[in-house]
Amino acid sequence: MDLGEHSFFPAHQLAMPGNRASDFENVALPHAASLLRYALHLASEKSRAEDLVQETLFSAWRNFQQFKPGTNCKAWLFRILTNLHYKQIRRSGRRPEVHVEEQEARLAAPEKVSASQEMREAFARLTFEHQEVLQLAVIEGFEVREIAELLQVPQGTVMSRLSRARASLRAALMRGGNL
Amino acid sequence: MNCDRVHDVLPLYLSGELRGEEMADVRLHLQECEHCAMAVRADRELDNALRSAMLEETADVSAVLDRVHQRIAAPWWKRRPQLISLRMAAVAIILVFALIGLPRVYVHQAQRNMALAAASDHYEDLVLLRHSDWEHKPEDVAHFMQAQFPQKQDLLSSITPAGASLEKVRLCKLRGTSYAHFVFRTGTVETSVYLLANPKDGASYQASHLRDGGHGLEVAGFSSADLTGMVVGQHSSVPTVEIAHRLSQTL
Repeated sequence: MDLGEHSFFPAHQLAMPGNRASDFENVALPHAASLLRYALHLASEKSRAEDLVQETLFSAWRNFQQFKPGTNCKAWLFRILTNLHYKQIRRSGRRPEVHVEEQEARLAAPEKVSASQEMREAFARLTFEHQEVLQLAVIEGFEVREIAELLQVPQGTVMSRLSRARASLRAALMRGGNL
Repeated sequence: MNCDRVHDVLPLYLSGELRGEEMADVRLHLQECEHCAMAVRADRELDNALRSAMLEETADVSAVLDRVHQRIAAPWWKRRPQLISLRMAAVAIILVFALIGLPRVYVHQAQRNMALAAASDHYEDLVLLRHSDWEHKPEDVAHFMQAQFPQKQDLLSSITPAGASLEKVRLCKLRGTSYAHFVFRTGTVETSVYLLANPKDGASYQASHLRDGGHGLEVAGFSSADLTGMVVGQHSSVPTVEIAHRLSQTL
């Protein structure tokens, strides 16, 4: 199958049949931005987040034959990314990083900010777990069932965490004067 | 369905996961309960505002995609090896070595150590004359044979090398294992044969040859159905390998 000159992965450069290369390009790569958004949430540092996404996509490409067409490729990729991240955490023995100073410095900026900026700042004030469920459910559009599978917690936990996260976000916005 | 139940399943309703009767019940409740309907509208507005705000700052993935592209397009031998793959390869090599190589090395080393012990014992007994507990007399030797190898009536004649005669025999310890040490003489040449009955667990020697056992001695190991042993003699004077081969066939 000819992938055309605009193909991201020219078929002759890939050690897989042309249609599979094309599938990977069409099905997996469009989720790269979502992966990076979530990786930034998990890893905090941009360089680490980019490395994580790179490893995720490369791992997905090597194991693309395991992906069942018709199933949720985005959820599959997020699972790979989450597994890689926690594997790296276990290997390095470090705890997940939270850059409080960076957030506080940004939040203390005196200039007038837009509603979107206020929303992002309110979101940044939430706990790691509340940010995580909101990001997966609201921003990335995962179902409760998929989030439960990804985070390896019961669905009831995801549902209660989501309710509390929305309440916390609303409270953070009120403290910031947006609501 | 009451307000509390609607509150519980609200995340499923908002994500569109509610189905069938439960979905119909929630819709019906929301038509009748303005309080819950407002809560749903407020959550939807909050979700929309959050989504817009977060997606406004689009993550630039072009650099990552370039790196992925380069890595995938590179020939396999130039790709950065995966740590996991390397670990798996290391584990596989260790397993293969442990399953195949290590037992052989261990057996080889154990046999070599025993051969060295036999050569050393031969030197101490026949050159340094360290021991005096030998049986020389035919009746004492016969008694010794009966005590040590009761099932083997003609063993002595079977192990005597061609043209040689038994000089003496004693029980010795080689690295903690008891062996019968036979000394045969052919003119001025002495040949030692160390023998023990095969252990019940079936462990035995493989045919082996240690050219340099120290003091100019060489050692040949052998094993038959019932007996295991070593032949020790002066290098190039005693055909240890031939004697050991014959013993492995005849015993």
